[in-house]
Amino acid sequence: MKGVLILLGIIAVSVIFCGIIPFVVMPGAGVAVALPVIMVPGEVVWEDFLGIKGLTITNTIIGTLVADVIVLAFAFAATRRMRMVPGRLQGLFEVLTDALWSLAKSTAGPNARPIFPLMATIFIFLLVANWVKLLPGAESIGLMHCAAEGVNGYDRNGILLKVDKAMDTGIRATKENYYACHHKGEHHDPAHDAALSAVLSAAAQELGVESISLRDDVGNARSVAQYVAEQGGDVEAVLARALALAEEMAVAPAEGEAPAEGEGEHTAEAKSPAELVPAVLEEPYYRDDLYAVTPFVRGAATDLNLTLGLGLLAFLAIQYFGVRAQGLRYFTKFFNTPALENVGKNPMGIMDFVVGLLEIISELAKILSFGFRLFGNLFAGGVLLFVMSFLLAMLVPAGVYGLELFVGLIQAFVFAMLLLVFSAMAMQGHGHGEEHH
Amino acid sequence: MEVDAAKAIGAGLAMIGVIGPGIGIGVLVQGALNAIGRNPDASGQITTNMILGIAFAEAVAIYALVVSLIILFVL
Repeated sequence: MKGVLILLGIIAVSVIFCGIIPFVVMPGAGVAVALPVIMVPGEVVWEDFLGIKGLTITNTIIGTLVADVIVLAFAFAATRRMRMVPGRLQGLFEVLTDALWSLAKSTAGPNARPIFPLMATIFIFLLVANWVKLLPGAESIGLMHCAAEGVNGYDRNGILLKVDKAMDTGIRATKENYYACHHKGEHHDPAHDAALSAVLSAAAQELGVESISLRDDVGNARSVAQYVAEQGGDVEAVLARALALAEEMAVAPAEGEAPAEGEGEHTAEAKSPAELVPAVLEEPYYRDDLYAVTPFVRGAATDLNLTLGLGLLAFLAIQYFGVRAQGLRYFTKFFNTPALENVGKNPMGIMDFVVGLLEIISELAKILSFGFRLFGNLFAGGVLLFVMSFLLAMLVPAGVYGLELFVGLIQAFVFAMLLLVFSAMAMQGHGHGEEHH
Repeated sequence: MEVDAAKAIGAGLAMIGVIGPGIGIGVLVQGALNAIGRNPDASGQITTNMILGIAFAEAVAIYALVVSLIILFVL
C-alpha cells in the first residue's frame, strides 16, 4: 500500500516537473523551452580568459576540471588518514584499486606493475568525467547568448520553438532573427540606425551638447539619447530637433548620405527617420531575437581534443612500454629485418616484412580508434539524452540516464582495458618470431 | 534546403554501417554465453574478453556514427 502511494507520488511529481511546468507554466510566463543546441566542438564560455589573448575556456574544459577536482578531492579524503581498518571512503578506494590491480595482474601477468598506475588513473578519471556529464545542471544550465547563424535557438519574447537543423521542428529562423539579437537595443536595420544616429547627433550638436563620437559598427540611436542625458542635455529638446531635422531630410530626399554601408535591399523599404525616432526610443528591444544556451559544464569526453589527446597518450605509452621491456628489438615488430636475413632459405620472409609494415598502420590507427570510440559513445550519449528529453519528457529519459551511467562505466573500462592489453602485448613481444627459432 | 535534405539522407545512409557491428556483437555475446554455460567458473575472464571484443566491434559502429555526425554538423 505504501509502495503504491510512493509510486503515485513519483508519477505526480514527474508530471508536474516534466510536463506541467515546462509546457504549461513556463510558456504561460513567456519563457520558452530551448531546443538542444547540438554542437560538435566545445562551446566557448570565456574568450581570452584572464586577459590572455587566445586562451579560450570551453565548457568541455570546465567539465574536465570539475572531474579533476572531484577525483582529487576523493583521493585526498580517502588517503589523508589511512588506517589498518579502513573507513568507508578508504574502503571504497581499496576495493576499486584492488579490483583494477587483480584485473591488470590477470591480463598482463608479470608486466602489470609498470602499466597499472597509468591504466588505473585513466580509468578513474574517465569514470568520473563520464559521470560528471550526468549531474543535474551539466549540459543544461548555461549562459544565454545570441545564436550563431544556423544554430537553433529560441525566441526570447515568444514561445515559438525555432529552427533545429537536425530535427527541423518549429519555424525556420531567418537571417534577420540571428541578426536581430546581435543588435538588441537598437533597430535591426543598419541603414536605419545610421540615419537615425546621424540625425540625433546632428540635433545634439546643434543644441550644444558635446560632440558625439559614434561607433560605426552598430547604429546606436539609443546610445545617443543616453549620452545626451549623461551630458546633462535636454533629451526632449534634442529629440524634437532631431524629428524636425528628419522631416526636413524626408522632404528633401537626401537620405542617401547616412546609409553608405547599408545593404541595398533594406533601403528600398526603409521608413523615414521621422517615423523611427520615437519608435526606437519607445521600444528598445527588437522582437524576434534568437538566443541559444551555452552550458557551463559539458562532458569532458564529448570533446575530440580530450579523447584524441588521451588516445595519443595511450599510443605513446604503449610504445614506451614496448621499448622499455624489449629495447630496440621492439621495433622489429614493424621493420621485420630478422625475417629478411635468411630470405634465401625462406622466401616467405618478404611477406613477413610487408606484414610488419602494415603493422605500422594498424598501430597508428589505435590513436583514432581510442579517440573516436570514447568521443563517439559519449557524444552520442549526450545527443540521445537531448533527443529523448524532447521526444518524451517523462520517465523515458530517466531510463536513458541509467543507460548513460552504464555506457560511461563501460567506456572508461574499455579504454583502460585496451591500454592494458595493448601494453601487455607490446611488452611480451611478438610470439611468432620466437616460435620459429 | 536541398543541401539540408541531402545531409539528412547522407547521415541516415552512413548509419547503415551499424548493421555489421550489431550482428558482430550478437555473435560475440552468443559465444560468450555459450562458453559461460559450459564453464561457469571462467565467467569472469570470459566476460572481460567479451567486453573487449564488443569494444572492437562497436568501434566500427562508432566510426559510422562519427561520419554521420560530421555530415550533419560539420559539413
